[in-house]
Amino acid sequence: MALPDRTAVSRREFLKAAVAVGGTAGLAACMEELGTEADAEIPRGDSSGLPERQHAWNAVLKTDDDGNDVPPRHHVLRYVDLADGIDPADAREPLESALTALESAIRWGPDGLLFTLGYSPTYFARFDESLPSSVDLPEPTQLTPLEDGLALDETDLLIHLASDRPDVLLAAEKALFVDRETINEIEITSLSKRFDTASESRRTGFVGAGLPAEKQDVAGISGDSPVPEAAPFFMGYRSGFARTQATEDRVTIGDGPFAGGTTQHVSRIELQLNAWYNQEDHVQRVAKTFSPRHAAEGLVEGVGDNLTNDSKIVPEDVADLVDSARRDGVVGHAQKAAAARENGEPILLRRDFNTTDDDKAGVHFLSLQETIGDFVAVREAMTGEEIADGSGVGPRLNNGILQYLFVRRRGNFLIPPRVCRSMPTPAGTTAEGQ
Amino acid sequence: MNETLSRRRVLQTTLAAGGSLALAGCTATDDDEPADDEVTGDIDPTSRVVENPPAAVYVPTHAEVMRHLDPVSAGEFEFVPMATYPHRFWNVTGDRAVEAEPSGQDDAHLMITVRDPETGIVLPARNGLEIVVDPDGTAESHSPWPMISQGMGFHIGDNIPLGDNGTYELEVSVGALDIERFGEYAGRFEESASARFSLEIDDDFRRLLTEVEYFDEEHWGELGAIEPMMHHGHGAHGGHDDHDDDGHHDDHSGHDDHGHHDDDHEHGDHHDDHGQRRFGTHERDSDVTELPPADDLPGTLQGTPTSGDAVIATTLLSAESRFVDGDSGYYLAVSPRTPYNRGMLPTMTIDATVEREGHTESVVDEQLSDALDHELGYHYGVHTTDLESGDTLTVSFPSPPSVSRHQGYETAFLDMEPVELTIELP
Repeated sequence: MALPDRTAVSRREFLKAAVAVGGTAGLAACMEELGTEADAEIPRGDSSGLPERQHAWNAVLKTDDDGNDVPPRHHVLRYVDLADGIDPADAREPLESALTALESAIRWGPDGLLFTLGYSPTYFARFDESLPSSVDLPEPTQLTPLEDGLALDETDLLIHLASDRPDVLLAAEKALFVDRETINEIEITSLSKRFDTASESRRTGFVGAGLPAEKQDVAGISGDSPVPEAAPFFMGYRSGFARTQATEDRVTIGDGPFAGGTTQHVSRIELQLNAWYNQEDHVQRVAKTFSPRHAAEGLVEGVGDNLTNDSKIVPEDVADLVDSARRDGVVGHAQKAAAARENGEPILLRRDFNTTDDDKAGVHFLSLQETIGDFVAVREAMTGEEIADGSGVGPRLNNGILQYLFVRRRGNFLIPPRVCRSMPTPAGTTAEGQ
Repeated sequence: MNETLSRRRVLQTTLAAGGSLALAGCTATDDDEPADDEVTGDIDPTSRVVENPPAAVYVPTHAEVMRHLDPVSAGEFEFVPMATYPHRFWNVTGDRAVEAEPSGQDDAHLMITVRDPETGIVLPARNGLEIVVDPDGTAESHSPWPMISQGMGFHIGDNIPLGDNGTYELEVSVGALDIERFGEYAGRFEESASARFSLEIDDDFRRLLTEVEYFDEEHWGELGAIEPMMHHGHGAHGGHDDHDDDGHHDDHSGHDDHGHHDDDHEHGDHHDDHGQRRFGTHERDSDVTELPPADDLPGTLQGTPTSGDAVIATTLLSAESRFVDGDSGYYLAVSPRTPYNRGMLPTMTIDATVEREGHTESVVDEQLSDALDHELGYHYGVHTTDLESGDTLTVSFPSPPSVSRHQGYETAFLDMEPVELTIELP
């Protein structure tokens, strides 16, 4: 992938492309684009007083007029392995130093930088001891028959970097993975010697009104620029409503050495929206995204702005999904998601974002939950196997939005609490060796 | 457009880099208009529709012209691929059929009939459907629609964007037949399968849409259907279906024996062997289509009422039959089918209730599931016990078949009222 001609695209699109390109070239392009502006200054951070939970982002996220948390607009996922011959204990201190320096250099927040480090089952497998029972972190696996050909992400670490500012994201990434970097007079020593950071394990994305519409000239989307300008996601509707999201408390591990941590699941999902946009109308899309009742009652206007902070699913919509499917001939995505709640509360905290990696429309479906089992339960509900077995609704056809999604990769990670985020042992050893 | 690659250019670039496909004839530059714009003219089948069509199966404006590709084997299945110009069809969500016009970027309408290579019988392959364009390169996946058309019957289809002229590798997958299978189908088709074939898009292909022959306009929208083409045999067609070669349908003696559907329409037999008219209201011969005639169904035929213009052939099989596991009770089989052509109607919901004189509550209240048998064909069935002759059986359709429809089927099989039958025990 190459940078587009600056004169041919909007500034937003150019910056988005710069994130996707990454590396020195992407950063240079970003800096050049933003260099003459006052706001190009990176807000300085403070590594003290940061939350115990790495995933405690909500407190610093902006909220929209309806009280929904607004996710950072730009994202990078770096899947990295500990380099051959490097012992986790030897990498612990350098990693923690780099992370602390990064936090001192860049403000913790969407105008600066937010990040998490997650560790895979593969990482923990090198230790003699096992993870405690308070942590549910199975190997990733195929979960439905629709996932034939699924590839598994089994690198040691997943580092998720997010910011509203592409230049900040790229500067942080460069500091961590490419070369020694000084940001706000703070020197950050890169991890390049201790980690294997193959470039193909870099994934990128974006979320927020306007971005998907700008980036829709990719495989999987055809027709006359069908993605609405106001849509935060490629599918064309808002999601991640406050009332459909688990709280950070709900997804946080409660006890054991990783108390204050969470588990992270990331799926790479390819989208095929030719049929979605060119062969269906708004009413059909609303029925499949929300519920047939939403479609019949006209509850969703445009991209769903009138939904404020909730998908407006009511208990009757989820009382008996097989029965609904037999009667309605279609079951909505939000209906199935709501059926997977516990005591009426969502159990996943979604931090997913759109992608055009490999020039294909897609989603990096990133979710946080207390246990990977919670993710599996929701995924099973979304698969709707009972619905397909018991009605005319198919495994994909009229079964939420499954007709348009192709899951290609999947990985599970443990995001430890901040205190032991650097190369933890299964017993939660901290950087200070506690 | 400078370096902002269009989707088409991305595809070409990637293909060229991968070197996995023969790209003869694929020489577009940024300045080229997409080749599909080259074939225009005043005949555009995507724009000819019947105004105010009846809420029933009707004679469309034209029969489709298509390229028949060689059948390919895929595990236990056989795929019969066909391709034609992108054209409109209707997708069904709930009881709404919504017109889907081709996007400007679609290059072909792909159709695949999935069948049993041993018998040639069309299989209700409605799950696990995927078409991957250029599987070794860009590998762009589509979930095609399970679809019905008068000429093709039940098949998998979609309008697909491909690109400029060239040879395209396609991989098609179907899931296991995860429905109950009786008789000779027991234990068969338990694994998903895929197969590849190539489709050449050239100017001749794009000209197919100019070769469409329209029926006389006076017949558009009449009750009736084009006859199925699948009985012509597979692989026998080089270019497109030629209406002059279909001599079979002179023999339609069956229609007198199956007059019940005609009666429902208060409609004479319109069948006409002359000229372009390859449609009519008679029932087709038993060997030419997907489901057996109602009179040939095993068991005791309970009746053939219609609902939403579908014929609801209903039969009851005793405990002696292979459909009943155990030595008591009955198997109630409902075989909804298109009128005239006896095409299958997958993806619908069917309930059955039975009421008996002297009982205030229904004595049977069952949900039927779809199933396959070599004699019953594709049907919906349920095992039930408490039946007596004279009981009133109500077969209802909480949701109609959500298969997509080609022209002539989009107004039928949507508004489906319950039908009543009187039980006659085997």
